[in-house]
Amino acid sequence: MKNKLMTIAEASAAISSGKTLLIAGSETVLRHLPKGRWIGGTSVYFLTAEGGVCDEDNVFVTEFETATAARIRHYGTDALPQLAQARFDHGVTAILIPAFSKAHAQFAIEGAGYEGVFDQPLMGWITGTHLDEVGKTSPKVFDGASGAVYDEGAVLLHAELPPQIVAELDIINLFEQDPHADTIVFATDGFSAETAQVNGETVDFAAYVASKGIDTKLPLVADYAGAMINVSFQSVDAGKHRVQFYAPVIAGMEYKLAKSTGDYATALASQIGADGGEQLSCNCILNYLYGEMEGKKTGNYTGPATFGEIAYILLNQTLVHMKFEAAEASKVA
Amino acid sequence: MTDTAAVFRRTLTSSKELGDASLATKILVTRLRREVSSQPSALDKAVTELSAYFSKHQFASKDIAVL
Repeated sequence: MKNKLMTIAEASAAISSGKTLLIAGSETVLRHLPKGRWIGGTSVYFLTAEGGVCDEDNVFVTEFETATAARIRHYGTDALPQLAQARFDHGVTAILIPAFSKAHAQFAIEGAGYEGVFDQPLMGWITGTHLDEVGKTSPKVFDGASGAVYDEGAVLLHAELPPQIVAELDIINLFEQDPHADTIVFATDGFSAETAQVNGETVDFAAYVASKGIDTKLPLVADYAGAMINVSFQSVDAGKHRVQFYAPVIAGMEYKLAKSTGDYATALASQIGADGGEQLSCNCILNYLYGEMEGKKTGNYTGPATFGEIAYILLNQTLVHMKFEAAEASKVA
Repeated sequence: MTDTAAVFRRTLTSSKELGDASLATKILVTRLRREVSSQPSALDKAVTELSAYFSKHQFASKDIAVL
């Protein structure tokens, strides 16, 4: 895959040449692009080879060079559970969902139960806006084939791969559970919680977070059979006895607060190492903000900084990356 | 019961970490374990779902070895 920050003219030329593209940019810029084999989502924060940047004039373009065919679909919330139906027998799917939409909440809570969702790599992100525009402008997704623009539902790009190429989707998470932290369990799935069981005792969760002086820049972390999955804090309102999250907590999962990483950008660069240059990736806007990544180089994974990352399920404060490799290489990896 | 089905049943009723398994396998197994834990009678259905997944997934042989 090729990743590059492009001008409108450069991106338009790539579209017109028939390439299969995944594009992130401001709504204004995306609306200037011609129809073609692409999907896009609003985002103006990017991690580039030169460092983190907020850019409303250019677009970040990923080319699926090895794709032999593509299908672009938009699914409303009613059809979202069938999101895997139009995929190819051998391929990958990119998915974009607008932040704060019904589809965002639905996918986050129910997506792991959608039929076939784990059978092929499903990678994407939650589209956003400039942070100054949150609540004023709705995030969008673009179906480049039809030219349609949506602030609801999900737009998907199913890409067919040649038989000798396989895709591998994985995550890089700066965080792990603090083994000394309390064990937290919620009774219901959701983006908010009023109570939780902490070490087996039911507590007012907002009061607990406040009284413990918990650093809410650190996420709650659940251990999914060895994969660390974050849920980030959005707000804590002790007066209303409510804690809001950027992804849903799942009933019955055991969460612990993350162990502090020290300096974000240094920790991220350390974890990433020299990998990532040709991979499709996105990182979380919270990592961008809390890590003060604007202007900082954080390794070779480049892409948008998003309002939520998707690697089969919705993730927070996580770098998602997908690489293509020869089928034989994957067998011995 | 086949050997593979027995492995799946054991996987879904344990809390074993899946080390080098793919991310998809880890998330799916976690979801199925949670369902089985809250409703033990769902074990057969969960085994069927896991079997169907491994019959399609490109990394199946590598991941089954981790279970």
